[in-house]
Amino acid sequence: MTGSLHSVVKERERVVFPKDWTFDLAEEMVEAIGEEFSPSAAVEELARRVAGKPHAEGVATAEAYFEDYGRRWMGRTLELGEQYRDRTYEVLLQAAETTGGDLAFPHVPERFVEIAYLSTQPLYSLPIVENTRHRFTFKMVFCDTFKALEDQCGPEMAATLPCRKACLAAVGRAFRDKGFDVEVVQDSSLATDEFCQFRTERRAAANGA
Amino acid sequence: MCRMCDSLGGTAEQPWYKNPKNFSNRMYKLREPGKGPQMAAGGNAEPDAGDQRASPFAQAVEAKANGDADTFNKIISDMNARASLRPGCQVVPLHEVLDVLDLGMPVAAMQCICRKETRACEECSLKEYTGLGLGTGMLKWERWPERYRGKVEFLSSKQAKEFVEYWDKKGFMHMLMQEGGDFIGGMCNCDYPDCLPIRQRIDYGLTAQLLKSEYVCFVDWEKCNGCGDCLGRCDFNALKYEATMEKAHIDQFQCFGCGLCETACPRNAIEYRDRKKISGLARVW
Repeated sequence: MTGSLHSVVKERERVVFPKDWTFDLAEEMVEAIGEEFSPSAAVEELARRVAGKPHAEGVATAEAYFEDYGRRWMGRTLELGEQYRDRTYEVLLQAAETTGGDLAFPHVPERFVEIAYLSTQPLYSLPIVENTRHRFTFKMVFCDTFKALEDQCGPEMAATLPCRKACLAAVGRAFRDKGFDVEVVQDSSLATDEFCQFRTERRAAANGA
Repeated sequence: MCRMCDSLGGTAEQPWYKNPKNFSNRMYKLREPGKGPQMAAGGNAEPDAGDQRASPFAQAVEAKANGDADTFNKIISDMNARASLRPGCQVVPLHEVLDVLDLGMPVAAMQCICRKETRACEECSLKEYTGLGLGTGMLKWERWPERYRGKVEFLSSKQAKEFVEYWDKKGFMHMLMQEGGDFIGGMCNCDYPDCLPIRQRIDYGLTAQLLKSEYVCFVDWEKCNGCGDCLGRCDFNALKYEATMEKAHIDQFQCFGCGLCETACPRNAIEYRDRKKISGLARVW
């Protein structure tokens, strides 16, 4: 069959990959982000700041606090995520490069979103609803931040879901820092539905990873 | 609806393989306490010695070869009963495959495991690959077991569509698979007799694993001029030349709706019709 489309290979050379490759997230990175951005510690600090304030003022304070927290949380995740690369990410970057950036959205920023949530929330994996070339959507059914908010700031404050600002800011930063023009919206809320769901819509093609 | 739509969130308007949820998957999973890391790269492990017990299908083949029809029928019947309880794979025509390639990402060309087994041929480069791997699992292909692994080539959306169109033109039908995984992990481009699911269904009556497409093809005899360009394209004995009419004819009960005849017709004389809307075929999957 020489020269034909399919060549018969009696014994293909076995490819042996380096033994130190790891496809999983680095544990020390996950632990570091978890310690620095612990939801219960963050909400404890918030509770001190809003103590004694009228409800409306407290909500405004909480929203600003969470927005800042979300930006810092993702900033640190981006920093450590690049520092602790794994084989999965390397393959993704190679794939994105060989396809002219075509495969970068949503997976490159998705990696950092997954790291951020896996490091701080009671999850073994992030429930992904959609990760296509058009959008990235995930949901949170169990959220330590919301639970801590209910416990430490009361159900009235939790019902306004000021913590959504953290998720919106963090997800937005992950995508924008990786060069994508996106809009992040919240489709459902733990305060009124059974879970929070965040959707990131791509507005225009970007430069890739 | 077929069982795939029933179990995987399909509707009468949108089949299961157009639901983006079925393509979505995480990139990472944290290890649960007490569980060790998954070893890097299957290539570092010794190849499987192989299970020495014959699979049920191998036993059925042997029974058939020995003329033991009762044993053969019993095994196939049991296999069909088991397969009907879980998702399998479904034939999908080209025009819908092209839509799907915008949903399943990343996309990578890879070797066909069926062809490797049935013909002892390995596909070793992009010119030879016929399969498409879909989803984030492709980012970890280097740790697949040796028997699957080979190599892969990541494709852009445009390249993936050209890839599928190329094999369609060559006469390969398309199938999407959701077999036991959490998401649609691959698309086969294959033909009879290389493709194991097709062969198992046609030759051995294993009907529950591979489902027919959502469509059935019909010939518009007003447009067909009997050129015969479509005749060699059908893998399912559904298409024949109607000598008395001098036109192509499709047996809808045999038709799997793969659309290979449609993509070969220069006169657009073959059209798709929704299987679910034809009373006699709505349950023929």
